[in-house]
Amino acid sequence: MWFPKRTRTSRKAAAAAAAPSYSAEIIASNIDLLYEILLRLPAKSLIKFKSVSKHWLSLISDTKFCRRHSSRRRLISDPASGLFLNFSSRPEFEFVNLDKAHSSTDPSRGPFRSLAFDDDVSGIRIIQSCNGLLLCRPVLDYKSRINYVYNPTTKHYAKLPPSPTPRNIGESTRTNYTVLGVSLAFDPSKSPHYKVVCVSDSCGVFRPTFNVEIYSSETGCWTLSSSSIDKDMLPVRFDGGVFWNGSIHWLNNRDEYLLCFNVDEERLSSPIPLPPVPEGWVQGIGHRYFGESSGHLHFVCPIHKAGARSASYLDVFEMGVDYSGWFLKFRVDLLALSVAIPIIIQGKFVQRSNFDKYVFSVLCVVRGELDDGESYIVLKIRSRVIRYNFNTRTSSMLCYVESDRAPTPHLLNWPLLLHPEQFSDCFDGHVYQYIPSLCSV
Amino acid sequence: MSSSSTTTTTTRLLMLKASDGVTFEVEEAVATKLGAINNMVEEEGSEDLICLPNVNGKFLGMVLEWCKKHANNNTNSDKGNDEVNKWWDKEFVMDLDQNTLYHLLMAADYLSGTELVDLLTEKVASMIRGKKVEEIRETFKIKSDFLPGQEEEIRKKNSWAFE
Repeated sequence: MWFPKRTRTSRKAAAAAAAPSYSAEIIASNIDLLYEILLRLPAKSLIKFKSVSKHWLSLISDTKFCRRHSSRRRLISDPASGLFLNFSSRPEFEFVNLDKAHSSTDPSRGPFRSLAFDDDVSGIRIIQSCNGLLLCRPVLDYKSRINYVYNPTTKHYAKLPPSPTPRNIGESTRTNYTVLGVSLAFDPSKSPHYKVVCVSDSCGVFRPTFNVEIYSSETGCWTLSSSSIDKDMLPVRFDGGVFWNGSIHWLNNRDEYLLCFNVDEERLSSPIPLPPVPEGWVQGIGHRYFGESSGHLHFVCPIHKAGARSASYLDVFEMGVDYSGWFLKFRVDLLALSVAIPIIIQGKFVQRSNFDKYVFSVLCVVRGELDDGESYIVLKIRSRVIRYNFNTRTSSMLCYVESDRAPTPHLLNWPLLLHPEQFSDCFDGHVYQYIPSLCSV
Repeated sequence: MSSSSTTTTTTRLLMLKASDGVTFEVEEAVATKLGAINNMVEEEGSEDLICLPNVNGKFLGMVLEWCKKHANNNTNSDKGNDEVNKWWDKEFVMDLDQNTLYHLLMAADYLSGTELVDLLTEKVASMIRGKKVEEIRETFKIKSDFLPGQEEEIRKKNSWAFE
């Protein structure tokens, strides 16, 4: 060999030796290193950095990069960076930016206010949010049985073939179906593909079970699941379940138990009871919340000791790994909260229980990126959306949202049951987490 | 210079010579945390002096300091080691100024110190994640090569990310 021993130089070394002195410049021109740095940025930064240069745009738009990025980000549990609020009375979505407090003069626009895909003129509603993807359906959909999977960050969507599929279920095409619900299952740390579960009932044909069909984005078709769901399980809300730990979780209508369907194994587990009420305590019926954040399943409910004037709390339960049971993760003292946020107290209304003293809705529980210290609950208190940190017990105002519609006239006939003010303060609608991700649909 | 035998002695020392002539004497177990050095030792295991013409003494010293800490912490097979390493890594990158950080990253990359590259790229990412596009161009000396109107179009499409 002509070169002296010990000075074997790699491609990298040669580049470094001939490089200019400005170090950041070299880093940016070293594709391997730049790639590694970009992989570690949150999706929102990357979307912004697409406009740095053509080179950055092509790196960030690359399918392989996006796939690696979304599987990586999920591993370190990206929490939600925003919430889409959908008031029952309005077609548009309100957006709550969780990353920073916004002044009322500068409301966050969010990724979208309303959705429209293809030729659907009726508009689109969201059914479920799952690790960066949204499961959506046309607002007026009685016949088409179409669902969409949408990535609000990349603005790409996929139109799924109609479901239920009569051929799968083995019935004539004239059979009518009632779709009881569709749910999305997506975990980019396990697979870049997602699945959608559709639970339906055949009208006019007696069957002891519901039909369960599963769509896979890998194969692009619906298949009938070998598992079925007994009709005894009713009433369960099968639409937009909560995906956690490889399974979709549906809450039954009376908030008594969870149905848990493992999507890959197509297996329905026996119902899981909700956290028990300790003796001598009373659980509230309203103000409840059930959802997932950063790989944790949460159930929130208000609780107070029996007795008219006892203190009330908001308990946040977390499900243990492998369903070992619910344990109390955080407890919010509503009296202490009312000191910080006095408007939470219901003034004029006749109180029937301890909880009527407070007026709020739980919008979301968000687990911190790194540790519990950054975990918080998002509450809607009258027209304000507030973020309350469990550990520091401090609150910050996120934004104002317009109040819900005025009460409908016939409800005003029962002023003791529903005071107009209280009515307008309840959140009547749905909340969907916004988790920026570059994953493909 | 050559070691008399290739037996399993763990305290063998290596001499590393930086571009500016500064030399470091380190235990083999520490230096081989760096992929490049590990390869050289495996391929040409007989010699103890390794010249590294692309890293100067300051940054080689820092890289070796990191290797030493991690080698030491990993010898005790305690479960708390991960925590110790994490804590120590945090301290290590906390006060690095930009220029040092980028030089160190190049050194770690050149020496194939995969774990250290992970740590440093993570640090770079945390520093630039909130920056404006113009600041990114300034930091990395990048010139926008978009045609007029093209950049506005990309921004408009993703206006939410600029909030």
